[in-house]
Parts: sequence; C-alpha cells; structure tokens
Amino acid sequence: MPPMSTRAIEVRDVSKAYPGVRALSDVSFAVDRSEVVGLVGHNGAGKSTLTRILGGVERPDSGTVEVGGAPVAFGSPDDAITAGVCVVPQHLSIVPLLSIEENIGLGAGRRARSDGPPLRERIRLIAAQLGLEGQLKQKALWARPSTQRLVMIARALLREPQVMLLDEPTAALHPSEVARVFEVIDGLREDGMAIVFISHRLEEVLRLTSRVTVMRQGRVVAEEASATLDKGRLSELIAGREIDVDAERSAPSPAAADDVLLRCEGLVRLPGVRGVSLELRRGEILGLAGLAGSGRTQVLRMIAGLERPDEGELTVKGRPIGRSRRSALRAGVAYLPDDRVNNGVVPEMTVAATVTLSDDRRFRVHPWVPLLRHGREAAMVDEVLARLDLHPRGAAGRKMKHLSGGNQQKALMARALLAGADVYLFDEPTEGVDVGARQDLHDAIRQLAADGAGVIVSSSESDEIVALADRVVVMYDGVSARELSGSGVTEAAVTQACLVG
Amino acid sequence: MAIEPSSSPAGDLGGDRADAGATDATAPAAPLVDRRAQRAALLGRIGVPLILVLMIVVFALTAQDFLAGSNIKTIFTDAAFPSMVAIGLTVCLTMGEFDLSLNGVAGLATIVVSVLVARNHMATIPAILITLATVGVVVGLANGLLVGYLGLNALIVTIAVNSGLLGFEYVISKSQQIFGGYPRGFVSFARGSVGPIPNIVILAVVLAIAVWLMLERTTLGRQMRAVGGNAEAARIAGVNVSRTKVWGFIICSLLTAVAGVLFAGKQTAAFPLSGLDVLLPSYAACFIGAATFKVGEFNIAGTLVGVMIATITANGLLLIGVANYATYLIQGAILLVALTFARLVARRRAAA
Repeated sequence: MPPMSTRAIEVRDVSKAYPGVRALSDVSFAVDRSEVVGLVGHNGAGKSTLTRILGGVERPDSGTVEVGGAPVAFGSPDDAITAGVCVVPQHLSIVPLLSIEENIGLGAGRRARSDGPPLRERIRLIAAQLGLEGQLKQKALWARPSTQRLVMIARALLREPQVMLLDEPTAALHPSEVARVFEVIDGLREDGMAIVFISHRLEEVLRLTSRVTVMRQGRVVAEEASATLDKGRLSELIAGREIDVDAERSAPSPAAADDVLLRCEGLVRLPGVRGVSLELRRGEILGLAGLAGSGRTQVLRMIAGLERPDEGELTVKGRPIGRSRRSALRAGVAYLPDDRVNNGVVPEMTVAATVTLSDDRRFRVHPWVPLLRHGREAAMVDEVLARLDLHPRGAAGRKMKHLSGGNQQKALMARALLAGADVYLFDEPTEGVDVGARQDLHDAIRQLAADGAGVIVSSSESDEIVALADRVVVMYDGVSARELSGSGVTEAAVTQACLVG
Repeated sequence: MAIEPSSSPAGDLGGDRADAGATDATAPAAPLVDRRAQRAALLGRIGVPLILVLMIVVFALTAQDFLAGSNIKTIFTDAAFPSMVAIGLTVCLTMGEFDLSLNGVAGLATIVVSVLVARNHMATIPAILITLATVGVVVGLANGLLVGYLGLNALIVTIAVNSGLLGFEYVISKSQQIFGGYPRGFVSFARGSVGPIPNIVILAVVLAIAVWLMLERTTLGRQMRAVGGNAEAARIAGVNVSRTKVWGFIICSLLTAVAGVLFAGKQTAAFPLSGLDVLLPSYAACFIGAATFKVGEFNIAGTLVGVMIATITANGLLLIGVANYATYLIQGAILLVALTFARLVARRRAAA
C-alpha cells in the first residue's frame, strides 16, 4: 500500500462569483486525516458555497481542490463521491415509512460493487459502527432525531468517503441527543476520517474540533486552534469588529413608552419555543434576532394566529388574538410570512388578487354583494405598489409567477400595508431580494412605524436588524434570551448575542 | 451549462439568481427564447379548440347529416347534462380537490325527484327544491365537512359517499322502476325549447356564466383559486380554507343534482343505477379544458370546449356507424391524449 499523505483534502485559492455577488474570494482550507475541523461564519459568509463546491454541486471560478494529494475537478455530486468527499446535508432526507436499513441503503443500488461484500452486509457493518445495529428493521418514522441524523451519516459512510462535511448535524437535536452524534464523529475521526464540522453552535464547535476556520464575507478571516479560543472570542471573529458602524441605521423613533400594542408573556410551543416574552409599543420597530431554528418564525406565527401557544399569554391591545389567522387579522395583526414561495405566492394568481386576498370588501360592488370591481381594485393596487416603487408600473393584472422575487415580495408587502393594522410582523422581509428592492421594503417598514404602528422585523441578517430596529430581542434556543436597545444595537452585539445567547 | 442544483434554499445566492432570471425579458438572449415560448403558449391556448374545429370538419365530410339542423340540436342537448356537471366539477378541481360522487349525486337526484313527483304526486317546484336541498346541498356539505374540516382525502371520501348514494337509490325507489306519471310542466320544461334552442342548453349556458362570474369576479372564487394554487399561502393570507372547500363541494354537488333532476324530466323514467353516467365525461372535459385557453388552469370556457369535444366524438362516431361500446374506448383515449398534449405544451414552455 502506498504511503498516504496525512492531508486528506486541500482547497487552494478558490473563488466563486455569482452575478452581482462575490461568494468566495481566494479561500484556502485544509483538513488532515483523523482531524475534525470547524467551519463557522455568518449566514452568507460563504460556508454554503464552499460546501457546494466540495460536494460537486458547483464549480469554482478559479483555484484548485486536492483530495489525498491528487487534484480533482468535480463536475457533479457523483464525481465528489467517487473521489471520496461526502456532504451530509443539514436537512434530513429520510423516508419515514422505510426501515432504518432501507433508509441507509437509499440510492446505493446503482453504486453497488460487484467485488465487495453485498450491500446488506456493508450496511450491517456501518450500523454496528454507529450503534444502530439493533434498530435496522425499525421504521424511520419512529426513530429519535439523533438516530435519523446517524442514518444520514451512515448513508454517507456507505460511499466509503475519506472526507465528510457535516452541515449543521446537531441543529435540530436536543442537547441530550447531541452526545450520541458526537461519539460517532469521534469514532470516525479515530478511524482516520477527515471531518469538516459546520455549525452555528460555538460550544459544540469548540468541544469537538481541533481547529476552527472562520469565514466572513466570502473570505477565510481566521484559522485557529480550538484550544486557544473561547466562545466570546470566536463570536467576535465571526461578527468582525470593524463593521460596527452602520450608515443606514435609523434614528430611534419616538416610542410612546406606555402605549403597549402587543404583549407576549411566557409563550411556549414545544419543541421550538420554550419561553418568549416581549412587548411592542406604538411607533416602534422591534428587531427579532436569532439563528435559524431559534424559534423566531414560530413566535411570529403564534402572534399571527397561525399556531396556538401551549402556554403563555398573548394579547394585542389588551385582548387575546383569537384562534385563527382570520381573527388575528381582525384583531389588527398584519403578517408577511417567511419563505414566500411556500407561504406567500399563489403562482397563477394576479398581483391584484394577491394583494387583496386578505380583505377585498372595499372593492365590492356593495359590501354585501361579493362581486368585485376589477378596475377600481387594479387602480388601488397599482397605487400602493407605486409607493413601494415596483417596476414596471401597472403590474396589478400580471400573474405572480411572472414577477421577480423582489417584486413578489413587494406585492406581499402591499397586502400587509393595506391591512391597516396596528401590529405588523415581517419575517425575513428581504430574503432573496435584490439591493434596490431591499431598500424600498425597508423604507416602507420605517414609514409604518413613523405612522404610529408597531412593527416586528425578524431577520437572520444582523445588518438588517441593526438598520431597522429601535430595540432588539434576541432568541436563543427557543427562549427570548437577551434584549438590546439604544447604542447597544450594533451588528457585532447582535451577532454575538445570537451565537452565545 | 453547468447543471443547477434542483432546489436551492430560498434566500441564499441560488435564490437570487433565480430571481434575476425571472425579471423582465431584457436579457440579451431573450428574443429567440421568447419566440419559442410565445409559440408554445399560443399552441397551448388554441391547440385544443383547433382539434375541435378539425373534428367538426372531418365529421362533416365523412358523416352524413352531421351538420343537419336536427343533429346539431342533438349534439347540444347531449352536451347539456355533462356540461352542468363539468362546470361544478371545475369548481372542485380549481380548489385542488376531487369529487368522485358525481354519478351517485346525479342518479339519486333523478330518483328522488321522480319518487316525489311521479309516485307521491308532489307539486313540481317544491319537489325540485327538496331534491336539490337534500341531494345537492346535503351531500356537498357532507363531502366538504369531511374533506375541509376533518382533512380526509377527497378521493376516498367521495368514493365512499358515492357508494352510499347508490344504496340510497335502491332504498328510496324501493328497488322499483318509476315509469311515467311525471307532471306535464316538468316534462315540457326538460324537453322543451325556446325557438330552436333547447331549454336545458339555455340553462347550462346560464349556469356556466354564473359559475364563471363566481370564479373570476367574486371573493369566494378568488379564495377557491388561492386554496387550489397554494393552500398554505391562502391560510396565511387569512382565507378560511376549510369553509372555502365546503362551498366548493356544495356548488359541485348542487350543479350535478340539477343535471340529475332535469334528466328525470327528459327520460320520464328512473331506476337505480341507471342515472346519468357523467363521471368520466366530466373529468375528461375539465382536464381537456385545463389544456385550453388558460393552460394549466381549470377554467369554465375550456371545460365547455372539453364537453363539446367529448360529445361531438360520440355523436360523430355514432353517425359513421361505429359500435356503441367504442364510445367508452374513445372517451378514455381522448382524455389521455389531451393530458399528454397539455403536459407536452407545459414542458415546452418550461424548456423555452
């Protein structure tokens, strides 16, 4: 057997640009055999792009990748797997009605080798390695979350990789379940595997890894031994201290201190939300910060009437919001959902119908006759869209599916604006929209607060929170962990609070 | 070109690029692609009506008397019953739901109204109203509650309901044929005409216009389309999804019951399990319709074209002398051809 270099994978000067965005700039990064390296960074720092390149999903514009000392160029995920690089994605792809064994073997059929032991035998060996042997016949449906995660890892191991990239392997796990995954990772490392551990949970990164690579804005900004780091230092590296000043930051609105519009007291909805209290006053923009999965979205869904809390009190202007989205709307809560493709857009519907879907009474021939006057509706909708600077003008009659993402978001925003509510909830209001649209949406949000409404903006981007919010509530692991206000609202502070809690 | 990842999480860079692609067609590569897309879109919109015209030309040349006034009247009369049902079904399909209890509803409506007027000698109008209320509204309500509020699967619910309705046909008719004894006014309405146009054709057109207005111009119709297009988005917008579904099932059953009632007047006879057979023709019509005018969407105008295609095929083949059973074969074949056609057009548009 030829001696193998200890270097399992080496990335040199890799760059990748998308139209208008430089996703990676001269990124270099290496992992040795029998080593676990942490890869950390903000949303949009470039971790996902790097993962996609190493997984063969994307090709770099420049730079080289070597696996086991030999240069590789991946044209497809299959190429990466053949070269021995396996990405275990964050999102589970488990088929609930198949057994654990079948789930592990999923997709392996075509790659079965004629010379090695049969697939069944290999699955059994890997399962034994991961402590899953007793559960092979069990349906995946009943498996614990950590087991499901291990199934994903087992599926990757079936490809016999030398390098594994684990993307947020513990994100959906309860702390008590994490240990089990860690044991497996440690075991793999001892067997010579090179592992990249991608996570927002800094404690876990520090506990598990020997080195940490920090990315920010498409670059590697630090590479340090884990032993020399602590949580605070690491979160500083991730946030970067030079970006504290933000020109876009608005002057705090003059919030009337006593005029509380919305009060949440000890909201619980398991498993995601474990205790959230917050208040929203008239004329105020409250930022809701937190990592993905910290429970922000669920909190807003509860206030919007889409989910009901298990425990806790939730009142708008002193009254409960009722049991449905409809009743919350009547109570004065407007809501712009996250994930517009699934939660907002009806592709075949016109822009006008989308905007007035919540309430079209004012366009009826008569309040009691639900026949709509399209002309009047289109005129009104176009007027609101013009206020959001939606181009091209006169889009009311176009179908939603023909609009760009930014314009779709503006249409959904227009619906919220027309609600004439007291409380406005915006979940990731500028997710996946261009810079210009982002500015228009921000302007509209500020205008609402200036007009005396109470606004909550939930965002995973701390610069957006800082740009908009007068006050920030930070969610961590389902709990409203921290509150920042006044001069304490800086990007570094928000980011750090998100990571540390 | 590199193969794009099939799904990129929204909000990351992949999302941005998808957005950029969807903005107005000012990109340099636009003209050629645009023309192909336009051609595919046009073919999609008028392809099916073109087939209809072609069929008419072929039958006019091959079948004697196809274009005779009396045959044209026959075609429209034959189309009236499936039209009413298909219009109702279009509402249901627009919401993204299915109703397979159509034959049961139509058949039971025929039986109930016949028993009331011919056996019990009830006055025509109250008898019709009672039939529509019991068979149309109650069955639709039951379907709607089970599907909309309990969240049961519409396919299996309406199959089960259909079976129950067929049972009721025996119970209510006491398993005996009803023959004759229908009031004259009822029969003359179902068989009569205004000038050359049969009453039931006029009624079908009126119902089509009413439902079209409902779908296109009212709050409820919009909510139905929103529920069908993206139920979660509709719910988040504040639409009461369950209630909307109940209304849709009621409208569907009610229109089917109307067809069943008129069928009784036209036949002046009723017997269990020998009511209107509208299930396949109305589904065929709706799905052919979804490949017409507004491609990919169920729409009333398209549904009517679909009904005409099915009816004219049956009529033309009969005139040529093709055996009766072949109608089943050909109706099935037409549905498959239309679905394939719609799929191909959609794929070409996506590719362009």
